[in-house]
Amino acid sequence: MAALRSADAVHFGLLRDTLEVSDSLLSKHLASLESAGYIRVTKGYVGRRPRTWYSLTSEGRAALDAYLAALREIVEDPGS
Amino acid sequence: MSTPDDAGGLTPSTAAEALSASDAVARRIRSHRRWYIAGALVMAVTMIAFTIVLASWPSRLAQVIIPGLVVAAAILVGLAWWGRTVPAAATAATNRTVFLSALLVVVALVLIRLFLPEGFSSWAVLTGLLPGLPFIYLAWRVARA
Repeated sequence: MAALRSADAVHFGLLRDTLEVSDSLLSKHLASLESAGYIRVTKGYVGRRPRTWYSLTSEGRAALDAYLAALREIVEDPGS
Repeated sequence: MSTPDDAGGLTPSTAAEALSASDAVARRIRSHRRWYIAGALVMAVTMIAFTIVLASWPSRLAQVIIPGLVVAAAILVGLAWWGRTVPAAATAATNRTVFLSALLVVVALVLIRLFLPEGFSSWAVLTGLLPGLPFIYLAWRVARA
């Protein structure tokens, strides 16, 4: 989700290469995130080749922001 | 994805590691915006060249302009293929940019036809720059986002 946060849409292949995971593992995670309403899937074409794009929904963005804020709080104030 | 409640069980060092991994992934994806910026600049050059050539040498439509547009389209498909990302701020800005640039092509051609001498001139070049400006702005905006 952090990968999707820094762009409007990211292609499946770029996500796989960036995260260094297998197609099947990535597909499984993306399906879970999509069913949770955190990401949106768009099918399109570049030239004649089909491409699948993923982007964060506003719910996904809010959930990721909350998670990152919680992580920052742990790092900055470990005692709380 | 973990929820903020899940993050409660993490140690500070694990949380710092997760944050740094998240930053690294975001940086890597963001670096792919250079392909989109290159595409916007190719579009700027294409629109400028198209307007100048069409205004100055309209009889060369079949020999120069159409092959030039085909080459530009092939380059854009290649850049989109390598880029594999739509950078932040690009989706909203792109449609407006395409519309504005097309409008400026018409404005530039009308200006050239009505007010400028026939054939190639420095005024034709200056007027021909107009349709490229929206794509230069798009490239700048995506680079800054």
